Amino acid sequence: MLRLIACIPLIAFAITASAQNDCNLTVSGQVVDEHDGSVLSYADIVILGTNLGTISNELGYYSIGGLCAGKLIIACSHVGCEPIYDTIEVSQNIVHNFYPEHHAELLNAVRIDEKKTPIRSAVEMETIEYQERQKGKSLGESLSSISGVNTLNTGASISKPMIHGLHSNRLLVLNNGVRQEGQQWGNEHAPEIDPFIADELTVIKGASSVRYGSDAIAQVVLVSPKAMTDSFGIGGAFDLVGQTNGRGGISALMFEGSHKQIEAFRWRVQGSIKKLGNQQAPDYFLKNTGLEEWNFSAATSFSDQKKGVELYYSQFNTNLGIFSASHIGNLTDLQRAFQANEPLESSGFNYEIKTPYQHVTHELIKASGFLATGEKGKFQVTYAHQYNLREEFDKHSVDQSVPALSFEITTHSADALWEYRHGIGSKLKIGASTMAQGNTFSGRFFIPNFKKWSTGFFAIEQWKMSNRWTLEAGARWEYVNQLVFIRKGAEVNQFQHAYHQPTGSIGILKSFRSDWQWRTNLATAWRPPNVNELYSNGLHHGAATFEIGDTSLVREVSYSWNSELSFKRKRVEAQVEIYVNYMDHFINLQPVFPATLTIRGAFPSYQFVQVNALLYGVDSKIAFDILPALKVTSKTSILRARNLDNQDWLSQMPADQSQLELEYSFLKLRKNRTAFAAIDALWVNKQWRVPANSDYVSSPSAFLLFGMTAGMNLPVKSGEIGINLEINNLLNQRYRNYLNRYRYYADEIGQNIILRLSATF
Amino acid sequence: MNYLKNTALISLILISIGCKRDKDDPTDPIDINEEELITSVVLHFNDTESGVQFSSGWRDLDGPGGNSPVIDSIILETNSIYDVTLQFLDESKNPSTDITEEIKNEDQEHLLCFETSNSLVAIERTDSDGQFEVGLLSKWISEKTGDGSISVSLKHQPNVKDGTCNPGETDVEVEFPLIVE
Repeated sequence: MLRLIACIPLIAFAITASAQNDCNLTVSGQVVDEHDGSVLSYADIVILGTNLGTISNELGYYSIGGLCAGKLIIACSHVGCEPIYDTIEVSQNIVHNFYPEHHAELLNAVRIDEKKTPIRSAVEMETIEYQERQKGKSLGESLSSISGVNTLNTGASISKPMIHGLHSNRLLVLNNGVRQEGQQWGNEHAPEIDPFIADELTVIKGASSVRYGSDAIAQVVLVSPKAMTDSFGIGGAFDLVGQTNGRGGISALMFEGSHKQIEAFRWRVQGSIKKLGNQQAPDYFLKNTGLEEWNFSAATSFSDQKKGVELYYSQFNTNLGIFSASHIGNLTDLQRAFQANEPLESSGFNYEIKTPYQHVTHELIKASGFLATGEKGKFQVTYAHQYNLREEFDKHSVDQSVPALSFEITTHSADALWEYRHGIGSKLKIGASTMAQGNTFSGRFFIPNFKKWSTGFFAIEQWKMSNRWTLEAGARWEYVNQLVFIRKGAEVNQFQHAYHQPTGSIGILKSFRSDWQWRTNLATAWRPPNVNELYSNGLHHGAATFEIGDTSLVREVSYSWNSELSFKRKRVEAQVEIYVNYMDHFINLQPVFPATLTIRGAFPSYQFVQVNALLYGVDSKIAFDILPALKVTSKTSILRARNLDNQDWLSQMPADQSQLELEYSFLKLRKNRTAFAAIDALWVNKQWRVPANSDYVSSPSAFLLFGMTAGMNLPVKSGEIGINLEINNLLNQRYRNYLNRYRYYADEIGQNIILRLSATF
Repeated sequence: MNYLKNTALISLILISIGCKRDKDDPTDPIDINEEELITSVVLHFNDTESGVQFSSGWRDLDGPGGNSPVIDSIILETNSIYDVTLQFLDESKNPSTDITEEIKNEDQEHLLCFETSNSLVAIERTDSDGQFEVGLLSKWISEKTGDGSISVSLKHQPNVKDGTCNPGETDVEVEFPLIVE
């Protein structure tokens, strides 16, 4: 999808350059992307009517000397954006900055123009491109390539992102600028997002996160689709992914266009289908672990530099088989499952999805618009409607066509944002957001019906005080009101839970010695207890636990500090981050005694209780070019999570891990072709740090896994063809992962060979 | 302009066919009831010699959680033979429903398993699904005096029933105090 509009070459016209004697004045400044504040190098800057001109340097700075006093027209052009013509009056040395608007996708711009170095605001942790290597992976899996990000899994097909040990309701996911609203509370409820929509994934921490909600305790994940095309005509992309484990694959297709007749109008339609059969551990197939997914989206926009509207629709559908042997009746069954070396139910290979399984549909309709307010401001509004249906079909129900449990949640949300750029790298954002939500259930009770409203106001200031220092601060106030409805016979009882609280964040970013950068951030965040934490009261199938909510829970507040030092030179890149997160009234699922006695036997009981918790850790990453073509990257993550009330560990936290990757790039290829081959090793320690007496079986042993990837890109006449081969679990090893709930029942999946083909046209 | 019309039309169609909505009203929830809830297991004893009949029950009328179940002790006479009939009930509703018949209809998928401590009684299943035993009917022989317990479990074994208690999922597992006098 590398597509650029060739900027119209600048033709110099002489306007007025009133000749004066004094011709030694200088105009200088910086070229900064209008959208994301990144600096633009290699922009052409010329004084019209003269032969004076230059290009911006790596930091976006330019300087043109030898100017005569008077009025002149200065023009700036850069790949992928409209040229800017400004008239300036020169009587002394002046500073003049340009803010060109990049139409081409920001991400693509990064890929195309290696010289563009984004100004790292104190907020951003890491952005990853959703590139060939990631295609077909779920959101959680893709994010886990960032150090500090893990996944919480239920088998091989359900994975939830987890950042610094926090997930679900503590982690905000924004899909195309809209907060994803589904049944996020469940550990086995993965984000309902088509991975082929995502072009860029960003993890945000610090002040900017207050824009998206007060509850970004574990930061914010932005899933951004590709920006609308700027090339006239119709283009598109086709992807085909096949994998050996599960013997299936994905096919995705996208078309987009914009037309000379109506320049402001752009459109895109996109869809993907996925089908996998039973997945396979090294020694056996995992019965009923097939999955199917079908998704589509359509987007249209009318926009120019000053104003625009966009309409977006997407639908996500999946049927997910739940591993049969994990769906068990009671504790006796569970203990038998632990003692067995292999799953008690096994099967050969097939594509059939039987009970137990989940069906999930998620629909998003979004309408948004923006209007430039003067030269430096921009006003934006967004309305979104989301509908989420989750149906869970139990293994043993009378009528297998009726879900044993289903939830429908509908969310309407509206956001307004005003952005004002008051200097290079300095920006003020003020906004408000509001949401109304309704949830209904049918079948087996797990969480009740509810209605929820929230309203928030925020302001974020990013202030570049000098070339070396940037200050960032944000504050938000949020009000949440929730009404819960529970029927007992003819009577409906209504319960209210209302909360309001401010949050804030302050951070600084310092650059020094041109290749060092340090940033630090202090933040608070809070979230109201979720409805399952308040009201759940029932058996959790598969986990064989009895979960008990507590209606007296209060809000959970986090106070966090993080600090990151990074270093970037030609051959070396290093980054180390430390963080501390103190959580007041951390909602934790803890065992209670005695076990709940039911007609199905005794179940260990867990209750939601509030404790004070402390999470702290280190993430580091070092990349080093041993040879021009050979790069070694090492990543390490360490997290400690303490329950301060009983001086014990918190459960379900990632173990220490390290990863080493060796990548070879083929340099001497014909023009524009790229190819690479890489091998990697991942070591995950045994999670020793688990609370006493809270798990049925001890955590799995440490493991060392190997993988490899190789790929190449071939530019063709009107696009590009990419081929990529990946082998996961290269040695087909048996292992179990502490963060996978199926560890109780079966090994992780074995070797998986994935072949990806992509074409853009 | 055609492009514009076409794409506008396509997006409208997509949205109108795609647009899904929740028809239920959050303020009007359904009653909280577990699907196919079994609240009670009742054992009906018939002393084959004396003809004395009595019952012992395990009842958790409010379902899992909430109030603790009410459990009767099973008191047997030593060296006696009892015919035992099992009954499964949902007594959370009024009138209560008998689920035993449903199990009987699916007897090829079900098996009852009994386990006693201290070998106080010997138990034989006396009914059959045609191939394997079921256990809704059984013969209990009390062999020695003592105190202990007996567990009764109902296994659901669709397509995997092999006459043993190993395969399948546990639908019911209750334990009664047992006294043989």
